[in-house]
Amino acid sequence: MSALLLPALVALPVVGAALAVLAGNRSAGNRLAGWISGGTLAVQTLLAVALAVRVGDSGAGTVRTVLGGFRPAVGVELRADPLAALAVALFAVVALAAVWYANATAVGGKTGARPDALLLLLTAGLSGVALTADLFNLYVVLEITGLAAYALVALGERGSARAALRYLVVGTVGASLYLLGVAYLYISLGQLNISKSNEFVSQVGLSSPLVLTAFALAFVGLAVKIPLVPVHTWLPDAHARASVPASVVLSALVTTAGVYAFVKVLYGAFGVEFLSANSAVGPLISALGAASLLVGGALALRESKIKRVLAYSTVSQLGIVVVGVGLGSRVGLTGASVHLLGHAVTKAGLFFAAGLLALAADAKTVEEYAGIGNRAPVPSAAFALLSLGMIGVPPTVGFAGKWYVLVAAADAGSWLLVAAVLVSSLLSLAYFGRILARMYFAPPPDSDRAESSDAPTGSVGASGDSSGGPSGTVGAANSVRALDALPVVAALATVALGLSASALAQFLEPAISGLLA
Amino acid sequence: MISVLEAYLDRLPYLAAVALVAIGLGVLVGERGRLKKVLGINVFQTGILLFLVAAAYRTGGRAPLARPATADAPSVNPLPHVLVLTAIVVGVSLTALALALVIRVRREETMAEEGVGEETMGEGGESV
Repeated sequence: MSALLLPALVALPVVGAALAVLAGNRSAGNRLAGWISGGTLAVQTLLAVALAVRVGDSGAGTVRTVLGGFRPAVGVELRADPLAALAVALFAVVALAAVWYANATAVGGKTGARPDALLLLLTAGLSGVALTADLFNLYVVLEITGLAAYALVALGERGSARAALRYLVVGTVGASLYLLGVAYLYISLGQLNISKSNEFVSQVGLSSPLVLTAFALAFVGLAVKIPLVPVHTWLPDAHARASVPASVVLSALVTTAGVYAFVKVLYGAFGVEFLSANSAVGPLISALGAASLLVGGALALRESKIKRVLAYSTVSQLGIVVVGVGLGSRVGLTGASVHLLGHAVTKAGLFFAAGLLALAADAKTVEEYAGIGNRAPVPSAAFALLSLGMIGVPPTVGFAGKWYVLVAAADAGSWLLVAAVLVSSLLSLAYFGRILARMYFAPPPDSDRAESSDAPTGSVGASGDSSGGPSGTVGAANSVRALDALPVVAALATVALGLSASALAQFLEPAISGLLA
Repeated sequence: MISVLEAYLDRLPYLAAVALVAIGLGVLVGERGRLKKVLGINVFQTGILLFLVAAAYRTGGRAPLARPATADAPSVNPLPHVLVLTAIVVGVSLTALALALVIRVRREETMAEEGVGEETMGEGGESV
């Protein structure tokens, strides 16, 4: 049974996706496809929790399975450490929330296509990224993730197909460069297992041109997927033009998987010795992270659409994670992992809140958020709390992650990095503060809206379900109002994770040690 | 002089791979047409696949079918071929999705030119 756990976490969502397609993506099968997707992801969540418990119990801190009965050096190995287990659980829970949101608001009614099957395929790819221990298999699961993500973007508003195509072109070039890097590495090492590559890399020579070329290609390729400045330009359009559930999984999960893939390749395949032998690589990675967090923050400040602010904020926050990754210390990696998971939870909640505010008050820009705190109090409060988490106000998880990264940067004596992280916090204070100030301290734009403020969520269902058909707007309003739970739970989770940050770091400890071994 | 030429001939598949990668990237960056960009990606990926297959080649090697390799009859390395087959499947899926998106973008543009409203546009997207 335990041998099947890891493969099941990748295979189950694929089976669910096939069933959801069979159940019909069009109106008649809507309910059924939604229930199949939700059920599959609920089981997936339970399996992920079982995996986390098993990983926590096991002495070595890892659970491993080699597929197809091959020796580990030959076959594709799946391997779960605490970080992978938490990531898989996170992917399942957020995807489940996205399926719920999509079905309650009947997103996709306009184009007829529904996101259920794509969300499941995406979950399969993401779980694969977290679990795989094979360099080529990582390419395949990254591409499965990418394919589902490109298609999800195309389900969004007008102009989303163009954004999706651009995302596809850039993403495919990135993945292909990574594949070329893997080809170089395979030619020099003669094997593809990530955890075994370490020793082979030292044998070939940590600074040999072949190894350095392989790293450069893989790094550039994965930088597109993360994304790092200056190859981030595809992200704002793709994330902002997608429908809300798609934005949630793209901004919270796909980017997380990109960073995780990079961490696996850098520390798993090349190893920490590669970083110490090539002393320019770590600072270069951190510098690119710092550039991302500054440029992303500055661009977020200039945007007027809420979803675009959130998208640029993702670029900025991932920059902090990459700074921690580049530092190459235990504290730095702990901070990167905590901030990576924390950002995913927080950003998912923020996109849900933004979607609900757009439904409740038809507000999509910073301007239109004026006085929204009174008209849609619950999503507004959640949005405010999550914003504080993103800024890094204690006791949220955003504070914990940034704190670890700051300490690691100070330990390494990189005061420029310390300054960059602090400035980025100020930037996020500026761009979220601007929104919060309008939400709570600006008068509503006109009196019409103020008068209808008594039943804000009543009109929600009507506008949200306009494409779903005439069937019972009251029931639809209720099902949309229940969605308020999503950002609220995310906000509470942000605080809970922040309060238990040291326990989280302790749980992740075996994973960090494994990466630095 | 001859030996230099031979050295290049020996590495012909690698040179072809580099050429394909360069051509593909050149088309991708240089061409404005969306369809050509997709084709550029295809050529680019083909170059990478050729690179992998070239690395698997062994002089005098045979196909690694169920027959153990011996010193006088070596087999070519099967693993890169497996990888390339998988990568081809990935490439086909990507191309299919890319072409579908190209068609949809073109349709949206045509609709916009003809001044069709936004509501009917979405419906047009789903009509099959």
